[in-house]
Amino acid sequence: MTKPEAQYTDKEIYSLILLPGFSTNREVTEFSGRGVGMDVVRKNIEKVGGSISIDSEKGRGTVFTIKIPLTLAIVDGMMLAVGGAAFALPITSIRQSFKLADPGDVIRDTDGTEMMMLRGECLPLIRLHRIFDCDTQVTDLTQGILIQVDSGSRGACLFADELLGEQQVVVKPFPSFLGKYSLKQMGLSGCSILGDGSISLILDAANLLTLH
Amino acid sequence: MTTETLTAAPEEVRDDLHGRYLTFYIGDTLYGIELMHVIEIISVQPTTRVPGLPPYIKGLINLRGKVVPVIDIRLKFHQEERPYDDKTCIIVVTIDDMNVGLIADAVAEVADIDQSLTSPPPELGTADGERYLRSVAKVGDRVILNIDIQRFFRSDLG
Repeated sequence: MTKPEAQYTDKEIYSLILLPGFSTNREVTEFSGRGVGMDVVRKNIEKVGGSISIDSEKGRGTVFTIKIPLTLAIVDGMMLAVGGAAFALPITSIRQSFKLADPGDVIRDTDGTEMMMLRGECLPLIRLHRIFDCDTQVTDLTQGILIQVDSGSRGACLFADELLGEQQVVVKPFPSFLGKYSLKQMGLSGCSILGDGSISLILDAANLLTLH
Repeated sequence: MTTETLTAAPEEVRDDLHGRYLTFYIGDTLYGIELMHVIEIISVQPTTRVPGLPPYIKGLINLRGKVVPVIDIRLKFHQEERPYDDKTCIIVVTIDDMNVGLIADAVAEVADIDQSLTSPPPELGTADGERYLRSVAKVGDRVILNIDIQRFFRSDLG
């Protein structure tokens, strides 16, 4: 205790349980009493850049407030299949998705860029299998799915094999080892570990729109 | 194959790891990596490809909740790719607090290599494997090429 007892705020006193070696148990049991648990919690939260604070009222309850920074943001994503890969596209970027009925709706300009007319707007068509070099059988525009995305005033249609459904994904940054490869500049905002343990890359619609 | 976990030793114990190398095969050549850099060895598993990376970075794996990049040593050495089999494994090493997996054909053993048995690597190594060596050791009738981990990763971290 570095300050006189009276000068500690309630919050500071509650936070004492986060100190290593601090325990209110009289006896050590198989699972508790060593003063280790809460210190592990605090260290792990701080390791990801977060913070924890505790508030409590006798007889009413205790609130543990854990703040975690955006690098561990949770995003509502639409999972897209492109070849064997699964990409997560934040739902906030999606305007609509549809199957191409008439191949005539797609216009090709002089250098081969594909575009679509959608309600009077001319939107570039971005084939995900091409920009990410994915091996897929689905290259015919009428066989896959088109997803209209927008960001600010720009829009485009992404072409993927199929929609796999909505999923909440925890955004993890790419390993720092890959820092020099500027993946964020390629339209990929991060990656995520899905429920089945597999890894999915997360698309950044705004970035994709500026690139293509 | 069972998972072997070698925990990175804390500073005080690190000296015991000096002179100890994990040896592994790429083809018929035996390479060594200082044990202090090795975190664990796991069976090869499918990687999630990430576009825009050099071909020798195969992709990412999920290692108990952590996303770890994986490099195929054969491809990094510009050698012919070989289908993975049940001996192929991923050696997870640590460099600058980052974990990276290295795909090797097969793991041999942990060798204690005395300094006296090592000699400097060949000067004008044209083979890519030789560019990354820190020393060459002769243990019994085997030659072990010891990889300099800083040099190995220089092009990825530079």
